[in-house]
This record gives sequence, C-alpha cells and structure tokens, in this order.
Amino acid sequence: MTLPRHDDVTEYLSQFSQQIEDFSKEKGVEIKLLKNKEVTKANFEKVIKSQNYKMVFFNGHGSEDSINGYKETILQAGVNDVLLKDRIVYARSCHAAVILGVKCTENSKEGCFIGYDRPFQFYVDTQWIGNPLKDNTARLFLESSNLIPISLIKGNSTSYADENSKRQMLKNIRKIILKPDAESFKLAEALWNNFEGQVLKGNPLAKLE
Amino acid sequence: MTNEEINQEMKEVVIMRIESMPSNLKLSIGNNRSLTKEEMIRHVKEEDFTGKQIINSHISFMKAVARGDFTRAITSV
Repeated sequence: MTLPRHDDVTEYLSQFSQQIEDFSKEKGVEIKLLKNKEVTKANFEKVIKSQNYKMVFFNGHGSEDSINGYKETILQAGVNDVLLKDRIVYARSCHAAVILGVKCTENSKEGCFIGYDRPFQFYVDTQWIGNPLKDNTARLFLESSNLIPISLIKGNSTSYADENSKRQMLKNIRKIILKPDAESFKLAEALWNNFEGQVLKGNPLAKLE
Repeated sequence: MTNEEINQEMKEVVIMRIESMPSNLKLSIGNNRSLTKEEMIRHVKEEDFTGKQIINSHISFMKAVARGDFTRAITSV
C-alpha cells in the first residue's frame, strides 16, 4: 500500500488508510507499507519484484496513464505496468483506470484493476484539516472507498468489493441529502462522481485467496 | 461522462452552484491540493483542465438527476 504524504490531499488519503492497515493486521494478512518519501519508483519496483504480493493499493495523484508516489511517477503505462500483471490493483487516484487500468489487465486472465475513469473527488472540512481522522465530511468519501481493499481482505471477489463500495456511497448520499444543509448536494454530487467513475477492469472474480 | 463542449451558460450555472457552497468546505480534485470555493470558481472561469473537470462533474450530476438515474440509484440501497 502506498502512502505518500506531500500535500493535504495525500495526507488525507494516507491517514484514512490506517483503517485498512489495522484491518489487515486484525485478519493476519501481511501488508507492506511504502510511506512518504519511500514511495519512489525504485522502491515500488523493488518491493513488487522481490515480494509476491497479490494485491496492490495505490494512494496518490494520477493521470490516465500513470500514478504518482511521493512527488514522482511510480507507475506508468508502457513503462512498468507489466509489474502488475495478474495482480489485484486498487488505485485511489484520478483517471488511472482509463489507460493504465486497461494496460495492467490486458493479456491477463487473473488480474483486476479497480480505479476511476475521471477525477476521484472528496470534500474536506477545513475545521479538521490538521486532524483528518476527525473530519466526518472526508470520511463519507474515504471510508466508502476503503471498502474495496477491506472487502478483498475479507476474501470477497473484486466485483463484490467494487459493488460493496458503491453501495456504501449510495447509502452515504441518501443519508446526507436528507439533511437540509447547504453542503448536502455538493457532497452528494462528489460522491455521485466517484460512484459513476469507479470502474473495474479485468477479472471480476479475482480474490486474494 | 462525456467531455462535451462547455458553453458560457454551463459555466454560469456551475459558478452559481459553487457560490452556494459553505466556505468551510474544500474540494480535492485532480492533481491539486484541495481547493477553496474561490479557487474552484477561478478554475471554472479560466476553463483550464481543473475547471473543465469541475464543470463536467456538475453537468454529469445534473443530467443524472434529470434522467432519474440518481433517484433510482439511491432508492435501490
């Protein structure tokens, strides 16, 4: 799991990923964390080549054909996407499903890539920007996306993980639009963006076990 | 979502919607740090890459509401 922290966005992504780390430990699933400045292309490639992890979870900025680590591109279509062949990938990054997701799963019966074909969005409440885990606005977005790796760690298939996460997004939308707040529809709109934009490429039946 | 041509009317609607956003919220979108509503409006006005992403997101949501997709989806869970 990559956890670069170099701006407020990656700080939020990384802090909310603690839930996944804790759940992995609880279930006895070994997890390798690449944190902060460790999230370089060289380190990522070294870990992937030396340890046969079945799942890779990326947090970080992205584009249609790449994902960033700590201020540098660590994965790029046509450069090192082959390293993810036959693995299960979740990319909490903007746009990466468009080209990278396709490249990672082509010519692979086993591999699966869950990501976004548009920008992944979330709102933060500035009151909590120094203490992200207390931010219940960001929680609506980041914990529903955490359900992808958590569902997989539980032994579910990639399609279940994808659908479970989307189901939680819809539940969150329904909960917030019942509140007569000025922010309700803004949050619903961004959650809807993630709901519509979250896509699965490759094997929908892939599992960790 | 399609990247259809963005016109002035779309931009104005999106800006009006952003203006109604509470000031305590910031949006994380794209490869930026999170954006205040003033920064969001500036990107929309300039119609740069981030601005286009914001506009497309708003338009996509409004279309989903108009088509009934949004209501169908949230009543399905």
